[in-house]
Amino acid sequence: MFSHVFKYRMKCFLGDRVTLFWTMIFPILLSTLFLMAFSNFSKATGFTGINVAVVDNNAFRENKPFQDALASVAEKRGDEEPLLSVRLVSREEAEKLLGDGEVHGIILLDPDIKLVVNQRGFNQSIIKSFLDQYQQIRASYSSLFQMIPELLASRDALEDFPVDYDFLVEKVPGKNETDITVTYFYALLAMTTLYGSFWGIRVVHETQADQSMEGARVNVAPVHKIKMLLAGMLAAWIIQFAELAILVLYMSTVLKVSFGDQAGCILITCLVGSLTGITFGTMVGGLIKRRYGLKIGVMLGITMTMSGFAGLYFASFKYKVIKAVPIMAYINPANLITDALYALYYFDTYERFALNIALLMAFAAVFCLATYLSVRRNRYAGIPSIQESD
Amino acid sequence: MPVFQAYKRVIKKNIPQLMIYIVVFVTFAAILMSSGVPASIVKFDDARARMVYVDEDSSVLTEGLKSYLSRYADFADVKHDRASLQDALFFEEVDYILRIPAGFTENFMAGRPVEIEKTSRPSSTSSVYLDMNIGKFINTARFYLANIPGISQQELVDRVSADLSVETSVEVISADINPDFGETLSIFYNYMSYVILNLLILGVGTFMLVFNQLDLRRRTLCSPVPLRQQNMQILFGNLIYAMVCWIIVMALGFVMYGNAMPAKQAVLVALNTIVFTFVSLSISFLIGSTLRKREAMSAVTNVLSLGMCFTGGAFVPQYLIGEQVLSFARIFPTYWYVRFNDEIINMPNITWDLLKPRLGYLGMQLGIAVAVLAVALVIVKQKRQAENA
Repeated sequence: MFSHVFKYRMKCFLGDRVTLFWTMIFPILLSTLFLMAFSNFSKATGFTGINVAVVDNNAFRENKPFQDALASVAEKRGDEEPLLSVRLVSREEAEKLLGDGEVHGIILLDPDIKLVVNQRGFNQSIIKSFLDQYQQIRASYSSLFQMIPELLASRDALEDFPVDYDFLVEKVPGKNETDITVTYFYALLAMTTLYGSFWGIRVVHETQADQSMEGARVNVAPVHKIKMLLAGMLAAWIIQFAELAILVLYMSTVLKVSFGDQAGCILITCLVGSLTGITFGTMVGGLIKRRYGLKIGVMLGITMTMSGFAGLYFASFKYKVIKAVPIMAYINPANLITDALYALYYFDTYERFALNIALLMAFAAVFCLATYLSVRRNRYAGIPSIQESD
Repeated sequence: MPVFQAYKRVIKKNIPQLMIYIVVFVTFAAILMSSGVPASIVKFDDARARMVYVDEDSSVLTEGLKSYLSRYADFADVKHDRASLQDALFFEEVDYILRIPAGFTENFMAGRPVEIEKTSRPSSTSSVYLDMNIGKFINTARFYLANIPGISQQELVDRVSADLSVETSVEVISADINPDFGETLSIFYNYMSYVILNLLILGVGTFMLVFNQLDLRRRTLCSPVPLRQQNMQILFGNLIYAMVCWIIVMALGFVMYGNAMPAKQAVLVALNTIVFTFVSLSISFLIGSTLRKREAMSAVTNVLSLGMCFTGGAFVPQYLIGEQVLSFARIFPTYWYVRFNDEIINMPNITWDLLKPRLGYLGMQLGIAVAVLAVALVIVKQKRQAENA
C-alpha cells in the first residue's frame, strides 16, 4: 500500500506545474540574473591603476627628481598594473579631465607639489600617499644629513633609501579566493532548499480531512494516516533533492559558480537541507489549520526573512547579523545551509561543515516531531465544507 | 461610475498584499539611511581602510607602526582566531589583516631580513593603499637603521613619525554633492523602480484578472453602460491608481531624503519616476489582458520585475554589470530609468547642455510604454473578437 500511495504522490507532484516553477525554474532564472548582475564585479572592485593628470608647466619641467619618481611608479611592475597612469597636459585640460571623471586627480607643481581632486577615495589617497612619500624621503635625507653631516661628504658610506617591499609576505586567507558574490548563490540555494516547504505544505494539506477534498477522501481509505503522510514526504523529498541537484549542476557548469570541489559534501547538504525544508512545510501545514493561502504566506514570509539573514539580498548581511546576534548562526536553517556551502568553499577543515549539517538534521527532527504532534489522532465529528479554490 | 467603484473594491481587498512591497521598501530605505547623511566635503581626508592589526611582538617599534597606521585605517574589532579573521575578510568587514610575528623587532633592529604577513582580498585598491603606507614606515626605519648604527627603537619611531608627518597640500574643487551620498540616493531611487513595477502589476493586473473573467465580462458587456464608457472608467481607474502609487513612493522619498537633494535634481528625478510609472502601467495592462490565472500572474510578475530590475541595474549598480548584459538591458525601461537617475543625481551642476542628451532616456521609456501599450491593445481587440465568434 505504501508503494501504491508513494507512486501516485509522485505522479501528482510531478504534474504540479506551479510548485515545480517555484522550486526549480524560478531559482534557475534568479541565479542567472545574479550572474548577470555580478558579471563585472571583480573588474569594478579590483585595482586597475589610477589615472592622474600632471600639469606640464615650467616648475615640472625643471624638477628632474620628481619626474624620475613619477616615471618609477608609472612603469609596469611585473604583470601588475602600474600604480599611476600619467598624462602630461596643460592646466585647463587637466581640470577638464578631472571634471569629466577621466582622471582621479591633478598633480600641480606650483612650485610646491599640490594635489587637486574633486572627491575623496582610495584612488585619490593613493596619489596623495605617493606625493607624500616623495617629500617624506627628501625630509628623511635632510634630517639624516643634519644629524651626521659627514655622510653628505662621503657618499659611499651612505646607505640609500630602500624601495622594495620584500618584507611584506602575502598570505592566502582561505582554501579558495575570497569572493563575496558566491554567498548570493549559496543563499539562493538555501532559499530553494527551504522552498521544499511548498511540497511539505501540500503533503499535509492533502492528507488532512478538514483541509482539502483529497484529505477527506484519503481519510476514509483503510490506510494508516502516518503511512500516507510518510509516503507523501518521501515523494516530496526525492523530487526536491532532484531539483536541488539540477540547480547545483546548473550553477556550477553553466554559470561557473565555484563550490569548491567536494561534490559529495554538497550533495549531502542538498539531501539534508531538502529534508529540513520539507519538514518545515509539513510543520507549518500541520500547525495552521485550513486556509492554504495563509500557510503559503506564513511559509514564504519566514523563508524569505531567513534567507535574507543568510545573505540573499546583501551578502555581508549574513556576517553582520551573526556578529550582532551570534545565536543566529545556529538557529537559522537558511544560514546553516549557506554556511555549510561557504565552509566547504573557504575552509580547510570540515568541523564547521559538520556542525551545520548536524544542526540541520536536528531542525528536521524537531520539525518532524512538531508535524507529528499536530496531525496525530485527529478525529472529526464533522468537517466544514471545503471550497476547492481556498 | 460602477466600473470605477468595482476597481476601488478590488484594490482595497488587495491592500495587504500590496503593503508587503511598501513595508519592505521602507525597511530597506531605513537600513540605507542608518548609514547616515554625511556632510559635503570641504577638506580632504585620507581614505581609511578597515584592518586588523595582529601584533605578536608588542614592542615600541610595532606600537609606533600601529599608531602611524591609524591615520590610514580603522582597526576593526574582530577576534584574532583564524576562523574569525577569515570570515571578516570574506564578508568585507575588513580589507586587510597584518600579522607581525614574534621576534620581528629583534631581527629588524639587528638588520636581519624580516617578514610581516599580510592578508587581503586579491588586487583590491585598499590593499595597494595600505601596502604603500606600511612600506613607507618600514623603509624609512630601515633607512635610518642602516645609516645610524645603534639607534634606539624610541628614537627610530620618533624620527620616522616626524618624517612621515610631511603632507602634500590638497585642493578640493567643486564638490556640491557628496559622492558617497549620491550613491545612497541612487540606490534608493533605483530600487524604487522595483516597487513601482510590482505595485502596478499586482494592482492593475489583479483588477483586470477579476474583470476579464469570462462570465463577468459577458455580464458587464450586456449592461446599459456603453463599452466606450466602461473602458474610459477602467482607464480612469488605472491612471488614478498609478498616480496614488507614485504619490506614495515619492512621499516616502521626500520624508526620508527630502532635504538631501538640490531642488533641480529632485524635480528631474520625480519626472523620471512618473515616466517610469507610466511605463509600468502599460506593462501591467499588457500582463493583465494576457493572463488568465492568478498563479501564472505571480510567476510572470516575479520573473519580469526581477529580470528587468537585475539586468537594468536597479539592485546592483550599472557599473558592476557586464557590457553585454547592459546592452541587452537597453530594451527594458528600467535600464533607462536607472541611467537617468544615476547621471542626474551625481551631476554637480545641471545645465541645459548637460540635460539635453539625458532627456532621450525619458524618451526611450515613453517609446517602450507606447510600444507595449500598442501590443496590449491589439491583444485585447483580438480577444474580444474571439469571444464574439
